[in-house]
Amino acid sequence: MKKKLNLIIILLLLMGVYGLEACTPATVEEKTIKIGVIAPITGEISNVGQSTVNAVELAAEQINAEGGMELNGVKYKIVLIIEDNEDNEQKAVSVAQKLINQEGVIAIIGPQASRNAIPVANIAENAKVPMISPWSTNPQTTEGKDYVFRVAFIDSFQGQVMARFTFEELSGNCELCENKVAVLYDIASDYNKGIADIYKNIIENAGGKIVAFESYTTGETDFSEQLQRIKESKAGIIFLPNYYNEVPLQISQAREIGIEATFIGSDSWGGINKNDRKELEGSFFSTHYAPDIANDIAQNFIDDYLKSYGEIPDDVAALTYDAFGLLIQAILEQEEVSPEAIRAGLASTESFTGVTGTMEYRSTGNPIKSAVILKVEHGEFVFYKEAKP
Amino acid sequence: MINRIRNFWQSSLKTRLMGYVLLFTLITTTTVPFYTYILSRQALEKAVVNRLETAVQLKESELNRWVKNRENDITLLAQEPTLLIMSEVLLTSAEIDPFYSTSYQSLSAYLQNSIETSNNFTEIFLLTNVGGKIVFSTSHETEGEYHVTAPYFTEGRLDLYTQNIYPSTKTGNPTMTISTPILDRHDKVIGVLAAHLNMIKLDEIILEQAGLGDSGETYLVDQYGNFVSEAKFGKEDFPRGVHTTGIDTALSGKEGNGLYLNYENIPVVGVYEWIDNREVALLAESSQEEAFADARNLSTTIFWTSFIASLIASFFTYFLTQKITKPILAIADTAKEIAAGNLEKRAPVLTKDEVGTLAQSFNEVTERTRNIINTLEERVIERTHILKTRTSYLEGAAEVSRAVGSMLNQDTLIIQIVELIKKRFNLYYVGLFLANEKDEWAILKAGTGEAGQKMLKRNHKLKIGEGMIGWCIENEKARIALDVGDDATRFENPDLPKTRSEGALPLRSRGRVLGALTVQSTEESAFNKSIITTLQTMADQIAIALDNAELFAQSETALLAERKAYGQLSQKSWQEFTQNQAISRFIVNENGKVKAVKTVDTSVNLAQAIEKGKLLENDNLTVIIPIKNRDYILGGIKIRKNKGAKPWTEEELEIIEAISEQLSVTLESARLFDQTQRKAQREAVTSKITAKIGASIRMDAILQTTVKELGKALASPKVSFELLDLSDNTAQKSS
Repeated sequence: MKKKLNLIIILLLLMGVYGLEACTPATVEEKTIKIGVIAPITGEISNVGQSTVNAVELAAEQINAEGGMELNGVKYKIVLIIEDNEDNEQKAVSVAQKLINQEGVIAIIGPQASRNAIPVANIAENAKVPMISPWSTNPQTTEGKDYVFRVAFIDSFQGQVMARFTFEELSGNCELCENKVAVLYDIASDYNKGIADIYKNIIENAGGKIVAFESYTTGETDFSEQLQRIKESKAGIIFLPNYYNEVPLQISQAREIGIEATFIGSDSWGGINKNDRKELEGSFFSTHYAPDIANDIAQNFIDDYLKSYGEIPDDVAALTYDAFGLLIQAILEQEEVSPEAIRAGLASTESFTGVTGTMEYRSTGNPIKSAVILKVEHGEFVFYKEAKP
Repeated sequence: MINRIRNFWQSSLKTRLMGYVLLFTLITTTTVPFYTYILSRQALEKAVVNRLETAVQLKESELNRWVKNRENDITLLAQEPTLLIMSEVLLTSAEIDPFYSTSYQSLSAYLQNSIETSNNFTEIFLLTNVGGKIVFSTSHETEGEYHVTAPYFTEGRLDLYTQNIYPSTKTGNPTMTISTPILDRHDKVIGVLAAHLNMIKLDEIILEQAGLGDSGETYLVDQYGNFVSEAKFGKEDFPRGVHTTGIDTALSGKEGNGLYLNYENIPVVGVYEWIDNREVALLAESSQEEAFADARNLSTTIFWTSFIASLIASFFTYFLTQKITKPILAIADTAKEIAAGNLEKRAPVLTKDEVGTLAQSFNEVTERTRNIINTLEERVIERTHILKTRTSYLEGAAEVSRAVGSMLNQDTLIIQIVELIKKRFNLYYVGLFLANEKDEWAILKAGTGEAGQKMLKRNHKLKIGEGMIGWCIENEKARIALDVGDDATRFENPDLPKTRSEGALPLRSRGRVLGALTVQSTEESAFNKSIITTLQTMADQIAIALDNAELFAQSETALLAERKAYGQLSQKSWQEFTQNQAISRFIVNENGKVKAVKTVDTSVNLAQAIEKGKLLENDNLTVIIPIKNRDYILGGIKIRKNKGAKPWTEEELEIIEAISEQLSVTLESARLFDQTQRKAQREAVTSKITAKIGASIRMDAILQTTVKELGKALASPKVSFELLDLSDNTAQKSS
């Protein structure tokens, strides 16, 4: 007994000398996939932000409802980390860094507007975090980047579609306009500027004539000067590749000063509220999908979305949902959850069929896909025609 | 294995002593440096933290001062009249304005110069009040860009504004921008003058070492975990920002210090704080290796010093152990030898301390043990001797008893007894006294040796009640005189001068004392209680034997007398019988006819036959065998073989003798039967007469019946009965 006691004392002494490593109990963590979402929830284009949030939450909910995404027999729950970029590039860059550096997301969905997406794409590329912008159409977003992808067609295609539409559908009907086309765009916004430049180039290259190429900067509300010059240019077709929050104001100001031209627009029109569509009657714009000619996938999505949010999903919601689907497909194909694997999965994706149709990726981050042209009739966006690539 | 180690450990005192000393030395040599290290480390940590805190405070104020100075720079610049004139042209006039170009040129030259001389800005640019379009920039490539949503534009239109460290929208790199509104002559805002700060300059301020040693450094981390200093930390290495305990804690808005791994996983002492007005974390770190070098050196020195000290201590311990254990081991060795049987071994007393005392005590114990063992051995020898003596006494007693048991002649017995006892017990002298009839004297009946003979000759006797013998007979108890001189009752005998001890043993049998035995030895104390008990047992046996011999002699005498009496009676009867017998001789002839002859054959020389037992006549054919009843000759058998027959053989003669004996017995029986018959007849007559007498009650009738019946019975013609008057000597006669 006495010997044992000695031994214990010696052991205690030694323990006192060298101390004991504190053991930290292993915590059982649920397997999760952290996906960052950057959307303009507040700011000028908060509708876009809302649709984004609705779409990602619906998509994530659909996966998590089944216990998560199954990879090699392990279920991963989708965890969304949604950040508001306030439609401010500075803010977008900041939240992107927050998501990448502090939240440790493995991929980012968003930002939506090209003016936010382009700077964030740089950040994502540098940090080697895959990013899918659902709605950005400006080529700069993905240009020269390995980690940045998109679901929307690019502006060159959209510009082409609208240019073609201008020639094929509108010029003939408009004797007065004499192929006179005017453009009013936000020069401070990448999307607007980019699409306007492309449109102008195509028209001019095709022998058309841009009679007025007027610009303004973000936040301006008085377009009278520019519109006056457009009126004076006697343009029969006015292209407004501007965001939905500005377009109704611009058209209404144009109509006020007696402009009777046909207005055409780009996919940024998709978010125009019903109440604001009165002045838009008869206008056309290109976009990503038309809810009234939805395929099965689209119809299911529309139904689910309607059920969840009580409204028909706009193009932003549809594209965001597709971006999410594309991301999940890439993860499933790679059977691995890591930024690098996702990048590899996205890069090797050849085609993806989603709500907004079938997208083909030819080793670029940009899909080759159809656009649709919608017409504003009785305050509704109605499918007019499809424009194939 | 463990058992072997344990056995080894437990088996050697030296090993254990050395082991314990080394163990505690080891503990000391490790504990002391360890605690020294811990304590000095704590002190050093405190000192290093203090130094780092000072550095942090210094850097913070330098940072703030630098930013403040840059704000002043911009403010001053925005008030510079030449700049204002040129700016107004650029901001308000169209590019085609003739002044535009010259203004642009002048402004460019002016600001370029300003950048190059101060080196505090990387880019100074002018933004339009509407749309935030860059109309002029020292980096011309950015001209034409719109920064309508940038805070430095939106805020800069209102007042002097410093946009704290933020990621550049182009590169994501930390940037800092100061902006201020440009006012026209009517104090109307016409644009914004903005300048990106030169972060390299900031680096120089922050990274400049402030007496933090070789490994000490201070750096800034923006709110998203990016190093502010691009020069030092390439973004490639930290694509997802940098995360350390210090950085993460600081980014959460706290300040503090601690020991943790830095961005290169090097253990550092760090002080960190969140500079809120700059929205940046400032860290000052110094590698623990450098910080605690002194502590480590100190503990290493202590360790080696104590290690060497313990080596020396071990060396001395070894000798000390030797010194301490030597006397103990000597005792142990001695103990082993003693255990093996060498009781003479003594443990060396090498010291005067407890061990010495132990050795001494051990020796004392050993000696005592040795003494005890010796005493025990002596006692064993003594006891064995006693036992042997006793055994030999017992054997002797048994032998004597056996011998005396087989002797019936008292006289020979007595002589043999004394001789036997003397010889058997190796005694000096043994004498046997018997009490005389009156129990007055004990008379010496036998004595050994010359002394015995002498004493017997002079009819040596002792008075009963006096002397040892006398006392012992009177008291019926044995008595010992271990040294004869001591016993007052002993009779000094000049014939036995060598006697040194003496014992007197009463000879007791059937409740009386026949006499006593005296046993004497030349040795002192030759007799003890147990020997005397043994001898007494023997004496009792002797007494019984003597008694038996006496009884035997008595019964022999009685038997002889009885025989004599019976023989005489028988002889008388035979004489009467033969006188009454008409026929005395029977002859059988060759034909087998028996003929009774009344004449007596005188030719038979019976007397001769009786004398010889049998008589064989000269012709060897005639033999005469007497018929004897005891010593009395009843008659004889004469057998003569025919002439020419073989002479008598011994065998034949024996047969005849046997027949003669049988005949004698048969004749005696027949005579006894005859005698008995006659006696019975007499008894019958007597009882008949008695019965008849009994029937009468008158005296006369009785007498008459008696004589009458007597006469009938005895066939006597005359029976007379007389009653005598004794007074006149006459009897009353009846007939």
